[in-house]
Amino acid sequence: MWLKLRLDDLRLIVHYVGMFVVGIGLVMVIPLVTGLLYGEYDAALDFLLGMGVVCTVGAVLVNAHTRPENVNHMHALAITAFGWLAASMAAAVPLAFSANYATYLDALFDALSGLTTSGLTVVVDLDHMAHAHNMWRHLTHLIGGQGIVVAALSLAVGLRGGAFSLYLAEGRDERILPNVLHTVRFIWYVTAVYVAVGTIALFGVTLYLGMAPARGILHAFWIAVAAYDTGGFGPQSLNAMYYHSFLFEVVSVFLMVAGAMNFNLHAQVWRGNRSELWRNIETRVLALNIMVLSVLTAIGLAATQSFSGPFAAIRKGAYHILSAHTGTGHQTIFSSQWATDFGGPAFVAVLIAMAAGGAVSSTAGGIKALRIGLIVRSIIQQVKEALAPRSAVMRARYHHMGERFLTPEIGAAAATVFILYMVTYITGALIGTAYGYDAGSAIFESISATANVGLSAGITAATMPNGLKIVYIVQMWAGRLEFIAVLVLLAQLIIAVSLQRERRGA
Amino acid sequence: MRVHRLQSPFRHWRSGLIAEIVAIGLFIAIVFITVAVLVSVL
Repeated sequence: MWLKLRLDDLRLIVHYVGMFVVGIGLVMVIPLVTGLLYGEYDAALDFLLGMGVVCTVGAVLVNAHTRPENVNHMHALAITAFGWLAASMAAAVPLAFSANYATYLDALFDALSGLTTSGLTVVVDLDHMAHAHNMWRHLTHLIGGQGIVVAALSLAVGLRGGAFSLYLAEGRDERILPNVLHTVRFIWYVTAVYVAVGTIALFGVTLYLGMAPARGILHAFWIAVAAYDTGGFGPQSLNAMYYHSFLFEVVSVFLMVAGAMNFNLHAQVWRGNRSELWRNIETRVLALNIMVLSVLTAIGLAATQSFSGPFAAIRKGAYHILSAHTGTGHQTIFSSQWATDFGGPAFVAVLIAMAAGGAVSSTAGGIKALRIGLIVRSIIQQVKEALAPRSAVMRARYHHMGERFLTPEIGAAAATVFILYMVTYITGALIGTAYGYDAGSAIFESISATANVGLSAGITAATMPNGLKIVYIVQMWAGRLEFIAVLVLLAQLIIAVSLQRERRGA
Repeated sequence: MRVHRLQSPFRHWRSGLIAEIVAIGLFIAIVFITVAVLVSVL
């Protein structure tokens, strides 16, 4: 039976979406203080105004329901789908006040790209952006990487039940600790440890590179956040290429791989269960895939001879496979070089790496290693069953935080998400080609947006058509929520419209 | 019946972090060396 949304349900959804909006407004105090500390009073004013606008709108939405009851599964999906859009719209307000975005749509593009940890950007004159605005761009990675719902749950903002439904609706599949609030606090705990360690290490590198300490600490924090949250924003238009340092790239690659790991795997290892690191199907698939794609990249780079020597091949080839596979999107080449300097096999390897993505319940996007592993296991199982006698009873198993049976339902669920990602990759690419871009670049950008990677073949810019900006916004949003919440929202809209028509007909 | 009490992941973060850094470091080194050797040979 279909669950129909009543007016009271809508008011409840608007109430919780309003809470996310208020939360986003309150976090703006960090860039506001950054602006004041660095003497950027105009930028600080942008955030003061932004806070005022966002908190006022949020407060109005919160008042849509004064006595909210428990959140059910349907509410959770709608709150999450609307919540991410509303949070992005709120986060875009102070960016739109800056001179670095031509229109509000451009600011929204970057805010949503930041929250979904995609890293695609349409910013103008990034090299002269105020520290306060750069702080905000990177903070969107920090909020969105762990999840807006996770951020809200960790503060337990007025929730009266339904916390686990909300947690699942955001594309997180696993409860790490028995209590969902302890689970989200653990997610923040791991993040705080890695971002702190990463910032210290990168700060050391920036000092070694000769950067002033006041600027170096900001760059270190921003890159640590962007790499660990597999975001991909950078404070300079050249992105990671700006630092031109192998040491800097090595430290950021460590953070990228850590960010692409399942939070549940972090919990297992931190509990002392080290063997899970190599027994887990997900880490095995990730490691094998990265190795195979690295070999393909080496073959492609050897064919083009664009980067002379093995050291250059590491910095341009292996670095980008890791950046793509973890869904980070930090880049050390110019966008035009994907077509000219990456030979066929290397270019295809980067596409596959982006599409595949990291681990489930991590900060990474894409299809996810667990699903790929389960689909491959299901195929092997079907072949085995076809070869076995009819009377044979066979059950496939896999190791993921313990031994589990691979049921047909688990295989089908993985295949469904796989198909949804592939359809979105292809649809986005077709729209890109319809706008007149070449097929290679259109496929590259479509996968990068849907899998929340952020590498760009040059299409994404302030000058690209507004229609394509909206298409990529939808792709980033749907990809981050792994489609289900978005599809439920669409289904609810269709049901509401058809009911309205029936009433008119009657 | 023996009951195993799960270790808190919050309390033992240092040893867990070191184990992960060592594992990630080894993996990155293998990837880098593979690419470097292949490009040199091909």
